[in-house]
Amino acid sequence: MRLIDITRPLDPEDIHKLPPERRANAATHVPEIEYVRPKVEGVTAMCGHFGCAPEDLPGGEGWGAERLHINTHLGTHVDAPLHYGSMCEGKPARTISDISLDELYADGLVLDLRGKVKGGEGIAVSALKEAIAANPGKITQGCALMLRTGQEDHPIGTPGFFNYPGMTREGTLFLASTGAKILGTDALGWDRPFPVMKRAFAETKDRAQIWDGHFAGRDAEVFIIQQLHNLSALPTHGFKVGFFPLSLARCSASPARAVAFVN
Amino acid sequence: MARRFVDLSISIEMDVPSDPPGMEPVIEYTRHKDSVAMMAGYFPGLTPEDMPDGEGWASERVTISTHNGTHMDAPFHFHSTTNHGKSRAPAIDETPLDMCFAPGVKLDFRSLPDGYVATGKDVEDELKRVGHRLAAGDIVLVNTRAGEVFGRPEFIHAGCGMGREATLYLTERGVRIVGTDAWSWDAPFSHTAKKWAETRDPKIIWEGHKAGREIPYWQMEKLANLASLPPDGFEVICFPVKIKGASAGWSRVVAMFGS
Repeated sequence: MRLIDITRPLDPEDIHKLPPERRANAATHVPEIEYVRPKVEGVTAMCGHFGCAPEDLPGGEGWGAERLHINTHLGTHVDAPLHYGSMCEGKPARTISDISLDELYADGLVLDLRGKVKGGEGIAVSALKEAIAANPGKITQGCALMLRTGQEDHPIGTPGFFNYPGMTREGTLFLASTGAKILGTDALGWDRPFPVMKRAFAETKDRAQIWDGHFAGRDAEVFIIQQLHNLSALPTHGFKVGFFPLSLARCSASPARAVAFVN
Repeated sequence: MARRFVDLSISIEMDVPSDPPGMEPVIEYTRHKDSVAMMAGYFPGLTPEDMPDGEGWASERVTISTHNGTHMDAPFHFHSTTNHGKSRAPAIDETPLDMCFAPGVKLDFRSLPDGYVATGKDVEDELKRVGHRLAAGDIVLVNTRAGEVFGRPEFIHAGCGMGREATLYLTERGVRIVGTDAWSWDAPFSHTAKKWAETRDPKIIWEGHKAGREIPYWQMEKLANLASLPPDGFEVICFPVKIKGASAGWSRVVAMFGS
C-alpha cells in the first residue's frame, strides 16, 4: 500500500505571491496565521497556566502554537450540499458534519482533461465523456472523479492560478448522472472563474451564468472537492481515496487532508 | 470482514466546552439569505430574485487554534529541538504520512484518577492484560475518564495523564504516534499546577510533552469514542491538515475495521 498526498499545502507566506489586489480576498487559498513561538509567546502562555517562571521550563522554552483565521473553504476542502443552498434534492441540505465517513472513502478515478479544456472557459460535456472513455477504470456508485485540468502547471503565484477551466451546470449534472458522488478538481474553484461568470452575467443578464456549477448540486447531491494537488502522481484508476474533513459543526465545508491509497 | 469506520474525532462547535475559557474556536456562519449581498459584490446588479429560490451560498469564517478540536501535535510543539538536541523538531507539514495509517492499540485507563500521571509500568501492565505485543509503528490510544465527560466544563480537568516515563516507554519501543481522549496528553494542568505549588519541581511541568525533546513523537488530543473500540484489531487513519511550519494540525481521526 502506497499513500499519495493530494492536498495543497497551506502556507501563510503565499500571500506575498499574490498580486496586491488579490490579497484582501484570499481566505480560500491562503491561511492567516498568528504564530505562538516557543521562545516568546509560548513562554508567557505556559507561565500563566502553571504559575511558573521562564527558568522553570526546560531550555527556557514554552510551547509552539498557532491561531488561524480561515474560511471553511480553505485549500483542499470538501463542500457539503449546504454550500449550494438550504435544500438539496428537495430535502434539507446536509452539512459537513452530516456526511458519513463511508461516503468520503471511495474508488478514485482521474479524468485527464489536459489539452481538452481552456483556462477561463467552461469544461464541455464532450471533453468529460472523452476523458471517461480514455480511462480504463470503471465508474462505481459513489466513486470519486478527479479532474486533472492542467492547473498543476499554474501554481499559486502565476497568473494562470486564477484563470482555470471551470465546470458548468451541464457538466456537473452529467458527472453526477454517472453515479459518482465525489467530484474533485485541481483548480482553485469548481465553477468558471468569478470574473468570467461576472462578465457573462453583465453581458447577457442571464442568471443561469451565476455559479451554475455549484448550484447544480441543489438538484443532484454531490460533494465537491477543490484545490486538489499532485494528481499527476496518481494512477488513472484502481485506487481508493479518503477525504476525511475536519468535523466542523453544521458547516458548509471543511478542509481535509486528502490521501490516495494505492496498492 | 466488511469495512467499517469509527469516527474518533470530536465535532468542533462553539457552545460545547472543549477547551479552557478564552481558547475556544469561533465560527461565524453566513447563511444563504445573508450571502446574496456578498455575491452582488462579484455580480454587480444582482438581486435576490436572480438567485435560485432567492438563496446565495452558505459559508463560514473560523478563528481557530491548531490545538482546538481533535488534532495532532508535531514535535515542534514540544520544543524547538528533538533527538536530545541533535535535530530540529519537525513541524506538522513534515509528518510522514506512512506513520499516520497503522495498526491501533487502546489502553483502557478510565479507572485511573483525574490528574494521576501514568507510568511505564501502567502501560506495560495494560498491554499484558489485553495481550497486545507492542510493535514499532503501532498507534497507541489512551482512553481516560475524560472521554465520558466530554462536553462538560469538568472535561479539561478530567482524566489521567501520560508522564515522561510512560511516553518514553512507548517511544523507545518505536511508537511514533500516540493519542488521548483527554484535553492534554499530560495530566490536566489544574492538577499539575497544584503539585507544582507544593513541590516546585519543574520536572513535572508538561513532562509527557517534553519527552519529545529526547525522542520525536506525534500526539493526538481530544479523541472521541475510544470506549467503543476493542483493545486492538483495527487500523487508525490520522492524516493531519498540512499547515506550513505549524506546531499541530487538525485531523479527522478514524478507526478502520476490515480492509
